[in-house]
Amino acid sequence: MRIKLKDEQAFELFFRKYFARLCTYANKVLNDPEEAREITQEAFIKIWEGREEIDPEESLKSYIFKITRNLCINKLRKRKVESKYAELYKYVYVENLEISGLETILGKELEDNLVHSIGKLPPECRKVFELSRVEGLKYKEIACTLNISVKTVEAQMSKALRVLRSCLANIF
Amino acid sequence: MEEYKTEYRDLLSKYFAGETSEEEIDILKTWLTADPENRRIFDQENELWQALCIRTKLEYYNSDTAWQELAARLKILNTGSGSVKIMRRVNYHLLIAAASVAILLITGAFALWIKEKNISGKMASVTSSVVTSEGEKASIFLPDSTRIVLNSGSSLSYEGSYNIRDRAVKFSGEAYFDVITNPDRPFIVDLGKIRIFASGTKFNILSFGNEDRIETTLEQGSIGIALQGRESVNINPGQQVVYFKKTGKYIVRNVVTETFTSWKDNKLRFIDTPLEEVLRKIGRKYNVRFEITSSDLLDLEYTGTFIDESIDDVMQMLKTVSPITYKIYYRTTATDIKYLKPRIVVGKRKIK
Repeated sequence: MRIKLKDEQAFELFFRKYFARLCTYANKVLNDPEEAREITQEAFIKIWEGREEIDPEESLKSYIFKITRNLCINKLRKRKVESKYAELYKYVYVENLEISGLETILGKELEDNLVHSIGKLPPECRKVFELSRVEGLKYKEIACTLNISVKTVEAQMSKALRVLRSCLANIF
Repeated sequence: MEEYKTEYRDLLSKYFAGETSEEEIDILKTWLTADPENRRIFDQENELWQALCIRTKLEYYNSDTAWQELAARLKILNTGSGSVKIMRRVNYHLLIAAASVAILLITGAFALWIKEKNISGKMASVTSSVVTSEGEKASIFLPDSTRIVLNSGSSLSYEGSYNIRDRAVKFSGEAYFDVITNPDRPFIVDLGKIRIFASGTKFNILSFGNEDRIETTLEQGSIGIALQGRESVNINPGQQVVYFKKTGKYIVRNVVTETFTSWKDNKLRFIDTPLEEVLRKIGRKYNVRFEITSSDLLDLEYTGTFIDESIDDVMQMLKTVSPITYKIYYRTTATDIKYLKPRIVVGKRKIK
């Protein structure tokens, strides 16, 4: 897709088409939805402000992905906490740039499939899964809420993911 | 998929959830460096994990709100279609457009604003009124600095003599009152069958003409509710009186007041709230009509907060967390060329 960003409506369409996908992409690298959102906004600002200099031959889509990726990588590099935790992200996404391809498979299709597949999980498994991925609770909190052990939470999560993974196998 | 990979995949999910121990991170690190293919698996699992966070997607990645923020930052104005009166806030979603906030500040006792914009009340008239249409809200400051937030489809009027002898307003619909203390001039809300007396308090009234119930919820201070030709009831903060117009009966119950007042901050907050009430509130905010096709659903209770979501997102979330299905019928034109409200039919989802 190539748009000359002369007019604001084209920019808005472009934004609406890619915003959520880019956020998801950034979140993959940063594992922080709020930061991912900020970075993505910033990428669009860069595009808008530099709209006069955009090479009309280059695809705008790959251009914004590139900007977002670079912003993410900078952010990841700057993370003060040199925790063990952040190390793996850096290893995969900073040191191996080719891994994070331009396209993310996240689109409408996946989401529809997902909601459908979640509905098919066994009830107790689904409960654990939803508390984690819908409500955003930590495993410990889930264990407290449902009065089960953290180990059980872990096991149910693995089970849920295994089911969902196989449901989505055709997409991956 | 080989078994050992499944094992690592599970460990990866645990890692993305931030639940791994240092030892487990070491294990993953060794695994990652062992084979370049494993980095791809890492990426894939990460993708899946993030995709599964539905809440995140709805709250953070809502492109309507994000666009509004961005457009404001870049000073891009009115690029879209559904603009809203008074406040220059652009909304593209048909339904959000309807639900958008119009803020009116009315400062003088004679200030006047009427829905159709024709200033029909002449200056000689001493009655001031504010009317909000469906999907609109208004914030009103009365001459004594009492603040009232009027929800959509509501009306409020007061005489020019307001704050001279007493402070009386007539009202129907839903509103949040933040009344300035003045023991000499009681604040009175006339709801027809009942009247509310307040001095310095914060409370919420819900009294639509077409609904049987009048709900008065007290957040702070104290109020008295005068029933027609009967005794007066006093309630304490955290309590609510529900008055039934048909029977003239009432109940007093303890409630989480936030559930009833959060609409004024554009939030819908539910705490163990039954589906029926949830849908009633969503319907009012988004200007849609609900039909529930299965009575089994009435037992469902919800806890959660909706802030800026579009109606699609709200429905999608309800569907994700409970066994319902829904279908949205967008605005249609009736034979008499009136626009009908969008309609959402909610049914029970079969669980296979």
